[in-house]
Amino acid sequence: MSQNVPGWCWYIVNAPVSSLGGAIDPVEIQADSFDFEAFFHTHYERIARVIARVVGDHGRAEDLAAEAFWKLWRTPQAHGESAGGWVYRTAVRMGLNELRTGRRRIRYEALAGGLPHSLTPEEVHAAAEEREQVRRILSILRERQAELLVLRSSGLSYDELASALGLNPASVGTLIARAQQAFRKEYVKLYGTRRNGS
Amino acid sequence: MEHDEMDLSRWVEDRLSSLDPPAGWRPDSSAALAQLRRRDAPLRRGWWLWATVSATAAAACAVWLLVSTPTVCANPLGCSQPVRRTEPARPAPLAATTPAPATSPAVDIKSNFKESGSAKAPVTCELYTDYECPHCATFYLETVPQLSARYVETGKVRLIHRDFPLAGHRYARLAARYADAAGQAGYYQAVVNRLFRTQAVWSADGDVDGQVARAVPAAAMEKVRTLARSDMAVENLVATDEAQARDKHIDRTPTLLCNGRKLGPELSLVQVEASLDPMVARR
Repeated sequence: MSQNVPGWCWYIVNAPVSSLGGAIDPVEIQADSFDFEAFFHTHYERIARVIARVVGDHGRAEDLAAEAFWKLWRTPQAHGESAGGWVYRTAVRMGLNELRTGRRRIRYEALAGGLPHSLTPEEVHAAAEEREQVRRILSILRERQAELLVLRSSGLSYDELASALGLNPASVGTLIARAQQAFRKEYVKLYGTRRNGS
Repeated sequence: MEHDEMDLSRWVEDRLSSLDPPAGWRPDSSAALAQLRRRDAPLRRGWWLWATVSATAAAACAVWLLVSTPTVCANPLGCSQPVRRTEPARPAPLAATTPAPATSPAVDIKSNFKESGSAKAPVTCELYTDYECPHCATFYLETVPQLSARYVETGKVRLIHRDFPLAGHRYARLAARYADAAGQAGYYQAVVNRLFRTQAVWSADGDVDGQVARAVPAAAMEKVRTLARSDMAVENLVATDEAQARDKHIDRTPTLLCNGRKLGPELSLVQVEASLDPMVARR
């Protein structure tokens, strides 16, 4: 080390990022520079949709999504680059916990629509039953497997899944395949292979 | 086989797709954000209220202690008997024979291991560092020993080392916890030196534990490990230092504060001495 190198590691971003191979001054991105509001607006809708897939009740999904962001707000260590993964992981866990503890309220799901108006009452009933069955399986799967399936079916990429759940990106495909096998095994065990309404 | 996997994947996705919320549903992010703001407001008010009440209570206690007659004292002969100050204090007999009550680490946590020098020194300096900051390592390993020899060991300066792990440094906080945990076992200085000296190694592989284990005897390492990994009191030591740094508007590491004044901007030995000498001389 050279004698008395004048320099600092910054707490606040106040210097341009040095080019690769440049000086040793690392420019730190810290919690207070985290733009919570912009992050909230970017991710809130998607987070609420992830939770809605699990709990069914859209109002409750919005409450839980807000709760996940509240936890993020109260956890400065999670601010920064890893905030996305952190809030998705928290959100899906909150949804699955709700599902497991049976505190879910589904009364608004049917009213919220989403089904074509051309469906017969029998088809509407079958669709609702199918959702119940899928959620039942998610509630009895291992937590990690349920998280993988919910987040993957919500459109997260392998890299996003790895980041959110703290997994090795190379093993995500294998873990998803195992989770899918576990899902089908439980589903067939409980409900057989026949699909509702078919 | 591959075909089976594709079938399985399609089969599962088909079922999971039944959970898709309706495309027309738009969660209201503005309302949710307003809700969070409303929720945060009472907490902020509560914090100020708590701080005000605490400060008032502390001031009242201080006044009461100054003006009131003591009803209890530490003199084993009683308040009416003079204390024989010429005799060195001896531990009470019970203390030698009775094992100390089992207290959680959170209760008997020590923090003075971060301090060096005389408590009566005319100048108190606080050094804020981040264990993963290369400039902190340079300053701590090269400049601090010279400052210590000239000012701390001669009773002119009391030096307090404080943690300020920066968010972008992945293992800095863990390193601070290990150092503070080692302080509980009496190995603070050895661990701080080791962490700064091997910074390039553990900041790359994350093996803080491995480096600390080379500076602490095996018998004490288990305690250090447990404290560093799971003791909230050790985490609180780091958090307290961090809070102080924020209160003092510290925005970089290393930062040296002497009698409340930030030295620098350059922290070369010559510059620090030029700032310290007049402060020491004035006292």
